[in-house]
Amino acid sequence: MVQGAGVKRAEPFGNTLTNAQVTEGAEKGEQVNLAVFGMAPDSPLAPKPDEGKGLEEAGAGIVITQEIADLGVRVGDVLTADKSEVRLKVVGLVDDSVSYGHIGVAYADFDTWRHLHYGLPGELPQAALRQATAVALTLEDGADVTAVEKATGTRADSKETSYGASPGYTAESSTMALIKGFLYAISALVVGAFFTVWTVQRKPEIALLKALGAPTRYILRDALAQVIAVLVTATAVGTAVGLALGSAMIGKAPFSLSAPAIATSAGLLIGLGTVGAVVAVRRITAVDPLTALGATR
Amino acid sequence: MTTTSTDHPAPQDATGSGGLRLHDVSLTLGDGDTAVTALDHVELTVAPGEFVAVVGPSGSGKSSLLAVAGGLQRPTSGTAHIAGTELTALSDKDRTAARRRHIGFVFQQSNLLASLTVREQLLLPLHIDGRLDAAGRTRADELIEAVGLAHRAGSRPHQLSGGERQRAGLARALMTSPAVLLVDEPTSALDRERSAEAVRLIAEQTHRHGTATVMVTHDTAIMDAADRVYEMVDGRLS
Repeated sequence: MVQGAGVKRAEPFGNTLTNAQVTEGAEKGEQVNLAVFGMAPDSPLAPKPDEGKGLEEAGAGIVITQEIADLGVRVGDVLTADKSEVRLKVVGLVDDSVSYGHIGVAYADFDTWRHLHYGLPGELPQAALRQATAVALTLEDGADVTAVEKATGTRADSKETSYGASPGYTAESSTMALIKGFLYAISALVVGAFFTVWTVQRKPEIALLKALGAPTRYILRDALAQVIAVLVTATAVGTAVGLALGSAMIGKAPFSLSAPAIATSAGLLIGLGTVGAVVAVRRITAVDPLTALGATR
Repeated sequence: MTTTSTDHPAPQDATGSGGLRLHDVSLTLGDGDTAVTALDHVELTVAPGEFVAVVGPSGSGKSSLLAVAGGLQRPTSGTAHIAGTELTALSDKDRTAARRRHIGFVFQQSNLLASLTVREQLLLPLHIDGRLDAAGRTRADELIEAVGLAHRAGSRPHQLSGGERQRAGLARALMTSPAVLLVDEPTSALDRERSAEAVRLIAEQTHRHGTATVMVTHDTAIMDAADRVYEMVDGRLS
């Protein structure tokens, strides 16, 4: 423990992936993949179950998350881990869908975790008793993380940064970010193309308006008002459809909805769409009112 | 502005406050070897309340005449006066403003906006000029009545016959009480009977509203209603 660096609490945290089989319960014989998070039962990291008991209360066993309950595992079932043959009694359930590398998470006390992590049945060797994946630090305000890193020769990351260490997280999230970026760019292009066609088709009408003495500004303002009306309506409809489909997908696919994310993407779609449309409707300035007169000059 | 009744204003000198005057107007389109003389030293004066027809084959420069008189195109040389303003001396922006305040266009096949009702077509010029008010709405209804479209006020262009569209186009052109009314081939989409009726209506409205009206057409059968008829050949007016 580093004194004076603002560390309130430091404790071991372990994570490991394991396969287990339901040995007691309705889905007996079912194979289950688990991402097991190990921690002290009295740790602030320990889950607060919505059903059954917590780790501290139960003494030993695992608290499963919704991801695993969706496979048919219930509180009271017993799972047996492959290879290490550790008996995992399901003592509680957390309603949230928590996954690690797309595998459902189960929380276990540290002793159980060490047996799973060691991977062989029987007594643990001395070295395995000192193992953990990471040390979880609970910091006070204004804590000096760099001092902790220096003193212990380790690297300290925030919880969010540490996500990058989970398998595939960085690759997946950067791929997703890339896809998202392209989708925004493409939507601006599609909107631009749509309004280009729209403007070209309206050319005779624009020429007529100009011949009637409408200033270009009047026509541009009118076009932009229509652009924004179309974009706002389309985005609202799209968001509603997205919400409906997404809500139907929750539980079946990793999908989460948050108001700020929805607002940001809706705002970006409207904003970038307007940029695309502005480029398109600028053609209005080039329309010659003379074309409103007959084809013969 | 005269204070005389607008029912039958006496034709007056067009070089004064009203009317249209084209002086020594030439227009060359294109350049170099491909240059075409569309207008060749044209002189034309039309007094308020006067209905002038210009006939000629296509390509004779009739539409160029309207383009210059209507401020859509600058002549290569010469001057165009409208209601006492020298159109040819104005900036593009001021010419646009002059178009919406002093010039009424009746286009070939009427050229209505597809999404607007007849009443909305008429209100459009006032909306563009930012002066749409109760008086404007009343005027629109009066004009719709005058051209015999009262039963069609709420109809859109695709619901109208060719003759009705032409009448709506005429009513729209008159909305701003223009000094000059320019009519481009008003009968190209109409049969003989409808043509005669449309031109009679233009003549009637010209005399009632005191506009200086120029109608170009290649249809020699409809010239009777005009006060004067010019012939245009190769950009020359005679």
